[in-house]
Amino acid sequence: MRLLPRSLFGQIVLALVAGIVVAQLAGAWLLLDDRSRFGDRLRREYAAQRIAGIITVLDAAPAEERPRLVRALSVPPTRLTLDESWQATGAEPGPEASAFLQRVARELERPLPLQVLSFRHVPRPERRPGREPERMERMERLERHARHDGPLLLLAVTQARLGDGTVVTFRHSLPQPPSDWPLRLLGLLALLAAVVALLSGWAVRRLTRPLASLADAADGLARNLDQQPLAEKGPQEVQRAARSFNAMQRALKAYLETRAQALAGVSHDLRLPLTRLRLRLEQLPEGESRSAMQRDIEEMDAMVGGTLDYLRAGSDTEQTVKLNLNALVEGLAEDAEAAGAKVSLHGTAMPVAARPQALRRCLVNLIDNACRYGGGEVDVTLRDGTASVEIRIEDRGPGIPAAERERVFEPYVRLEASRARHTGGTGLGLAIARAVARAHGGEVRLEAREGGGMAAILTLPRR
Amino acid sequence: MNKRILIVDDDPELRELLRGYLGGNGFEVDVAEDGAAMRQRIAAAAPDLVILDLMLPGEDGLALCRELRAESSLPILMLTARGEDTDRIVGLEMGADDYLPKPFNPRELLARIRSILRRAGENAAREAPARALAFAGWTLDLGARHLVGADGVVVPISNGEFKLLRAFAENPFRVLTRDQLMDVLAGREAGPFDRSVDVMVHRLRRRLDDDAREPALIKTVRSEGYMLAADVERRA
Repeated sequence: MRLLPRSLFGQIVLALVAGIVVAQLAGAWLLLDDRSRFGDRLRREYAAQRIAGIITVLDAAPAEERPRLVRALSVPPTRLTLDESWQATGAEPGPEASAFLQRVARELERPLPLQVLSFRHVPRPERRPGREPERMERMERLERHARHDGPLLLLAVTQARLGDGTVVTFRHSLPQPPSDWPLRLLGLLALLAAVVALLSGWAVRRLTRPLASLADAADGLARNLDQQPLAEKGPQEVQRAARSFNAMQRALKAYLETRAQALAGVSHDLRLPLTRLRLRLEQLPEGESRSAMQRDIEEMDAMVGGTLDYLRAGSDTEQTVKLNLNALVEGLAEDAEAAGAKVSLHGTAMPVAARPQALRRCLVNLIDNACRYGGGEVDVTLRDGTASVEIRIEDRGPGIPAAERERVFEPYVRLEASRARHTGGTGLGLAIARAVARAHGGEVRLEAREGGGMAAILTLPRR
Repeated sequence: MNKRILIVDDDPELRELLRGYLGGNGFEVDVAEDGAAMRQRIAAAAPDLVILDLMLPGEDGLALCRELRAESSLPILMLTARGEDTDRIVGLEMGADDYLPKPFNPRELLARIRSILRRAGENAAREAPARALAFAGWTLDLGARHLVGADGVVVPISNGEFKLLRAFAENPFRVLTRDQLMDVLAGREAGPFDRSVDVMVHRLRRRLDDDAREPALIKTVRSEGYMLAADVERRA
């Protein structure tokens, strides 16, 4: 499984959001910890004051009043009793216990002997026999409270010896505060995180969108060198990338144009000597070598013509008109049949905007290919649509392996040179067909035909 | 008397080869290498036809063609090394009677020359070459070599069909025999697409939405040939 997102956008946003969440959590923990420490201190302070207050009251009260007072004052969280004797512990109290003891002593009106018997966290309050049922209930409520909402009670058992020697024993339990979730705080943090995530998402998207359009432009460049240049806007680095890309596109175009001019120049210049050769041949006596030479010249002428056709296929020297596709396809089918192939036509289409000569050249090449390599039986199907017209040229030949289907569209590429030479191909047919289709805003592609064979599919958009 | 042809081309070898070839086929041939020489040769002896190369140093073929056309109705055959469709159309607009891309088949050249001379001979008072022939709602575009319907939709036709239809449209209400029609087709480039005149006419009728059983446009004249039964308007 992949945990990290693949896209730059996803990675940056993930890093930002993760950072924010970690920082927020740490901050929240610190805050909550501080708050609970502060609460704890307050509770201890309160317990010390209360115990000191009770001791002062009992100390001042007459001895016969004391049992009544003790009963009245013994309410949670402070229970007190006069029944226990001074217990000599001998042990040194812990730091928490002595701090508590000092606090109680500070609050007393006059110093009295004090000791802490126990100062510890317990899971539940100690049960003492002989308690009144009402108190029991309260204690149990406290217990439940402790069990459910706080893990521990802090139980402080304190003894004080009053002025007349009476020993008062206090059992004070300090419940941990119920750790209720600080909803307001958490809500604020969540809001903060959401706002930062949204803003950073927006900013990162703004950064990565030009990258996406750069990738799109690079994709499109392979198909159309004349595509609109990229908009040179956005952050500086992105602008620079767009500028470099546009410069590259211009350089590529210039390079290809130079090459095309050279090729066109050679092809043009070959036409004069070829014309002369043809005229010279007319002077020779009829014979085998003369007709062989004538065939050679035809072949050279076809190559030159094919090259010029290919170079011209993308240009728009021809006017675009509304073209009757049915008539075009019928005528081509009849020509192919006259040459010995069997072509079946299916479907019709409404007229389409096209350049007649160029489109004719494109379809001638596709049908010729199907006849040449496809065993002579070809199906041509017109499929009309609102957005585009599809013309399928299908044969039952051996087909072309999927890996080779794009390569055959490159100029001068033949799959089997020997076979192509036998059949007189120039290696430009499909390249011309595709260049024409693209100049029309359409496309030619090859697919395997269902049931065996090849399907060449020409799509022309309705503009 | 032999017809006189003036060849205007800047390539001396091609000039001589053409002189030899056309001379051997019964023409009297004169040559010129540029516009100035062309005017000189024409002044010396008026030719029946000029073969004009499109790409000439100095004044190019199109300018010369326009000049010739302004002065006379001398038939002109343009040669070009480009073979681009635009050249064909531009050449015809400039008033050339026909156009042939290099490298041409010498026999095709011969056929075109004869065809132009025949047409020139037939209408002694020659009109300017038309760019389109219109009949019965159809327009045959001689530049682009295709048929245009009344709705403006282009109906592609093959070279052979074009030649036949042009022959019909230039001779409306005249019966053309199969031999004459074969002759019209003979000039086309040699290829495997040979078929009888009848099949071609059948195809033409279909292109023109003409009922094959009771054709109204291209009528069959029993034991004679075919005829275009429509008024034809020549459009410049």
